[in-house]
Amino acid sequence: MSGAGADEGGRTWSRHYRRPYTVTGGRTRPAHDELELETLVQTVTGTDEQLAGLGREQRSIAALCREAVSVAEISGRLDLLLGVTRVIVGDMALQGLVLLYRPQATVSEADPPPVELLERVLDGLRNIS
Amino acid sequence: MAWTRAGRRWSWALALVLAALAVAVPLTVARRQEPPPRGTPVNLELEDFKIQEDAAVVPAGTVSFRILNHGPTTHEVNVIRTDHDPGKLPLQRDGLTVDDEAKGIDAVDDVGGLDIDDRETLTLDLTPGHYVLYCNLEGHYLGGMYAALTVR
Amino acid sequence: MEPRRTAAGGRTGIGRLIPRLPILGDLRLGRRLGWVIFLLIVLVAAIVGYNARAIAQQRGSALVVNQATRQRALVERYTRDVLLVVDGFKADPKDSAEAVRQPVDVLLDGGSVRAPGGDGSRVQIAPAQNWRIRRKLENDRRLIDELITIGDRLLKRGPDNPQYEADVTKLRVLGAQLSSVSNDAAQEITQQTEASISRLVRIEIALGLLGVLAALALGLVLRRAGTEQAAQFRSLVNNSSDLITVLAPDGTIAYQSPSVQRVLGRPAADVVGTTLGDLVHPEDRHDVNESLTKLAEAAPGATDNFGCRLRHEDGSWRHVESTCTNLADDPRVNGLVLNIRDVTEQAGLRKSISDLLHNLARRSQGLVDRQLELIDELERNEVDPDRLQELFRMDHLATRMRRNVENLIVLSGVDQRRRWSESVPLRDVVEAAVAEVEDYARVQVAGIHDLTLSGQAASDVAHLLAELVENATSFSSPTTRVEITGGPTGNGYVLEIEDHGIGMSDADLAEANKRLAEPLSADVAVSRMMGFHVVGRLAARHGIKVQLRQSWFGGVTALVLLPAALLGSAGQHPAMAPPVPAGVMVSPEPLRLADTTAPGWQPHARLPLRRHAAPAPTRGGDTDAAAEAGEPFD
Repeated sequence: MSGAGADEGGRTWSRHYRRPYTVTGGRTRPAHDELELETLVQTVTGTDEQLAGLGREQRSIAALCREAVSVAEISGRLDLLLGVTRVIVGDMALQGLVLLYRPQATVSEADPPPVELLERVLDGLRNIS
Repeated sequence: MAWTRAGRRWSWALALVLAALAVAVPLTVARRQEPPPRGTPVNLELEDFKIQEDAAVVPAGTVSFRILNHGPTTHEVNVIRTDHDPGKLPLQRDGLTVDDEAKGIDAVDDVGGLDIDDRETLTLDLTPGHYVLYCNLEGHYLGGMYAALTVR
Repeated sequence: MEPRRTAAGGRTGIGRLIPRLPILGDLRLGRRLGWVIFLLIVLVAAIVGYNARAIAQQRGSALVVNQATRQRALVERYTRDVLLVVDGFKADPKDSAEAVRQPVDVLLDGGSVRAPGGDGSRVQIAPAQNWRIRRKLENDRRLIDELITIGDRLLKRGPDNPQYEADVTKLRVLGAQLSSVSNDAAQEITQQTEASISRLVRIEIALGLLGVLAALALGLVLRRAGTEQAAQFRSLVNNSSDLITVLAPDGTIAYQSPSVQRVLGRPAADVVGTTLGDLVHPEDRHDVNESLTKLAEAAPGATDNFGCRLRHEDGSWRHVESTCTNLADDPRVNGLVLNIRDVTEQAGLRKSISDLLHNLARRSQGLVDRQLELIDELERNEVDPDRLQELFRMDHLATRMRRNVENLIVLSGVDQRRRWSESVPLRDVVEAAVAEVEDYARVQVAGIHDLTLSGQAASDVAHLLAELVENATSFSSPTTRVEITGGPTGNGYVLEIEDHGIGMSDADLAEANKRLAEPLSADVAVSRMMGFHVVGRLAARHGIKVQLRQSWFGGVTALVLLPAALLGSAGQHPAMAPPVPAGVMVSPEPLRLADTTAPGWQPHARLPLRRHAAPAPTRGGDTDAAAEAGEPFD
């Protein structure tokens, strides 16, 4: 990672130099309350026209979530920290750029999803990244 | 550093010269020490033209004359033993000074060159007799500069 | 060490009053010499004065004595005249009476008398001062009065008076007394004169002795000063590690001090007559020649300094520093004088220190990088927002530490760059810079175009941007923003970093720009301006120009011109996007239009914000951000 050497271009640069806290301006707590790992995120139609005004991560998320994607999957796919993903998605939700859904299979206020399911989802996702 | 070397030599030389002067100068102005007087003291005071003595009669033996000249003229004191009248001593041919080689006069001693404020002590052993003390500069005796002394 | 020079060429105190005598040349006539000469002059004056007084006194006293001795004759004449008249003969007692009086009156009250030489001139005699002489003379006068009284009586009464004989006798006695008294007075005068003359003689002898001593001392001092100076100079020249070289106007060495043997291993004789340039390192020759030529044309007495390398006899190069003075107008020198000091050790020391510094910095860099990797891992796995917050803080701290370490590496002077083989998006570089700053949240990046930066320069640019942004945030209030924007120019791309802070004075601004344009070589970075020094060095490596200007909002604007050679268009890197605000602020902001004309840079117009449709995103697969065709750079 350090020293002179033939490092790869933008990606390794980003990993080396681009710190996660700049993405969220240092925030770690999402603005929106109900952002769990399995919450589904769906880009609102018509967001494309507004894409030009968004930050890079937001654009990426908006592009990715044309069909609903879970927060965990967003994090894995876009190589963002979970906490960072939740913050950005929260911001987008508040701005009305995306809609949040609880996955039907597990949504129930009295019945939170089993932990093992979540862990398996996470593992699977990690294997992708 | 060089200053102290040369400076030291210089100051030694200067010190030497000063020391030499310091020794020489007092010597040149030193006054003759007066020997301690012995014998009967007689004070003589000289002035123009008089001799004053504080004793007209003294016992025989050592007499010590302490002479002071008030001046302003320089004087002398001659001591002779004589039976002449002190005021009528024989004179020289010029008629102005005493002839101390005349008959009846024994010159005993004298002291001269007494300038203003000079002091001298003349110590003599005197046998009993009549003495005259006088200044023999021209006209001084005739002006009255004499004193008679009797020694018993 | 050069001997201390004073304004008058080394003479202090009284020595300065003495004009430069040719034989004394430029010896350092110190205070002691001045005092010796002064004393001599005083002594000579005193001796001459005393001599004059002695001569005058002697002359005066000779006259006086002459007067005194005449009196006896005059008295006799008077007496004779009186007796003659009384006996019926012809005579002039009145005249003789006056003649008798005259000498004493003159001696007591002063007056003029005929000179004894008989040449008819008159000499003034001063009244007698000495109390003894005066008393004797007054006594004399009293007696004369008595004499004349008796004389008058005799003349009046005549020879038939019964007192006649007595009066005549009295007359004669008085005459005799007067003789002795006036003799005495004359003697007194003579004695006094002799005493005073002998006093004068003694004083003169003493003065003479002192004068001799002073002359001896003078000789000693001069001799000492001369030999001291010569010995000191010889010792300085021979034993110092400095070289003293005199260059003739044609550039050849006219004189070389023997210490060259020690410093360059060559005897002085071999060096004289050769050109200095032969000894100088080829890379330094140009600068040395320039300095010397400039000095030769400057005013006499001008000095200059330069450093260069000189060749030792054994082939090695010695680092030296040289101070030169233009002494072309001094007839004994007639050229340039160089005082050359061997600083090879110091140069070597400096190098080893900077090497040490560099090593330490590299090691720290390694450690910090590992630290950041660790933090990365922890962040990746952290779900809890609060703990993530703590990790972010650690992350930020470590990032800043990394920047400081990189500062050290830059300062240590060793040119080791972190290279990236491929180009890096300019936006990423800017974001990286922002991440390294303490108050990153206050920084707003807007409108950086789709450009890439050469991998060679990416690290350095991020670093220098970070320094400038840090400068902007530190010198502005925490409630204000720092804005970074960018725009193309004729020969590159300009990044602007603008703050709304307290600004800089014109002097400081000028100083900073000077540092930026000419970062000092070696180790002379002033801590107050160290940041600018680092920026200047980094910029100089890549031909980047950095300038500070007063911002119209009261703060400072830093302008960074990236040359076109470093830039590439968007196509090189897949993940490009149209110019949009980077993801720091939640809501997008319109670009500010600002005037970025700067002296020497081509004026350009800001590009307005362009909105265009985003291409269709692809789903999944490539974990990079959605690939989009970027806006070509125009």
